[in-house]
Amino acid sequence: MKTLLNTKLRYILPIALIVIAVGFIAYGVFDKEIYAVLSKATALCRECVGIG
Amino acid sequence: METAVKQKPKKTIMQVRKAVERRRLAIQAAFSIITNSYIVGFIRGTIYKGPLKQICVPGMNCYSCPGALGACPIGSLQAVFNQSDWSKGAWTDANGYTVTKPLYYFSFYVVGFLMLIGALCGRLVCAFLCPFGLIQDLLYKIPLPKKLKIKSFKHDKPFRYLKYVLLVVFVIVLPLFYEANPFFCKYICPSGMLLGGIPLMTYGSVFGNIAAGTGTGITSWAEAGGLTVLKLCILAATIILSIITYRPFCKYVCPLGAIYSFFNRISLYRYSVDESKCTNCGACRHACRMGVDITKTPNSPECIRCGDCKAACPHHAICAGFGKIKTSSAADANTGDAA
Repeated sequence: MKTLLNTKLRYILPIALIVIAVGFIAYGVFDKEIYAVLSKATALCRECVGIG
Repeated sequence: METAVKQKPKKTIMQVRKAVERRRLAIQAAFSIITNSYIVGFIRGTIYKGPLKQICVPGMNCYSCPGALGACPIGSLQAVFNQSDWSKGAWTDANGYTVTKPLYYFSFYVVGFLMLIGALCGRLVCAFLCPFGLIQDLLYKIPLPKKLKIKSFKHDKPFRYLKYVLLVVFVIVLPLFYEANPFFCKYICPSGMLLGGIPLMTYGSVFGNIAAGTGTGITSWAEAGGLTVLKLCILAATIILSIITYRPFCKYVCPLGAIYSFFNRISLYRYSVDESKCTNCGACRHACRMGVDITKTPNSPECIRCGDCKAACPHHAICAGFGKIKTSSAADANTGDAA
């Protein structure tokens, strides 16, 4: 019984996480978070590359 | 007449291991080339500014690399945390500090992306899709006398927790309190220096004016200061240690590896050991360069799923894959294996 539960959990847990993750990504896209990522990634961060 | 059928000689374990490693390096190289294929960036000393940069790449790939097409998830995570919305105006509080309304306290997009990759394959990314992992793999191939190659040291295990400390302090806490400031990128990440700083500053030194004209704002190595020295020292230490020991950055420093490691035990892609075939010969333990004993912890947070143990097993007792793995292993049923 315990093994069966473990076996089921082994699939349910990652699939549930994937569903949540897709939800997070969709919310992030809807909330225009991707533009925050884009604005950061397209502006050269001088300190990040070690200038200064 | 004799009809002698020539049988193909069976490959030795060493040949299998080499073939597996070659295939892995080829995948790593192909992925690194694809995600860093903005050739114009290398020619003009600038970075890609197109819409693909909205999408995170799964590995440690600085978005300030001239060739980078995607965004580094660790850089993006720090950048979005507590990002202020300057467009909504700023005001000065009673103490004289400038205050803005935070636009995002939490990055759903980046966290969702990391969760998705983690739940799918855990640290498989470290072995197959990370450009900085590839660089370390290649550095480790530099031959040294056996005495100088260190597999493990006395306090190796406590040092492994350093990456979790760096993740919490430099990637989460400090950027949250100091408005989207990428502390890890700024003060630690050698990937930014190697993939972004060195090519851009070198380009600027050679073709200074052209580089300035393309908007990078970099003119030459003459702009190097204390931060450059610090990051060059970290990079030099990483390179030297990578020649001596296997993937020191991944083992002790990488916050991305730390995030994916949380998912290793529960991801769809997993390893398992068939106890009916395993003879405890120790070949897998000996082959693992990350110091994991797969017979005890098949999905250890430290396992990068490179497949060395699987290739080294003379009894084919180690299985890996998505979904159902055919084994009679008790270890496989145990999802809560110890670190």
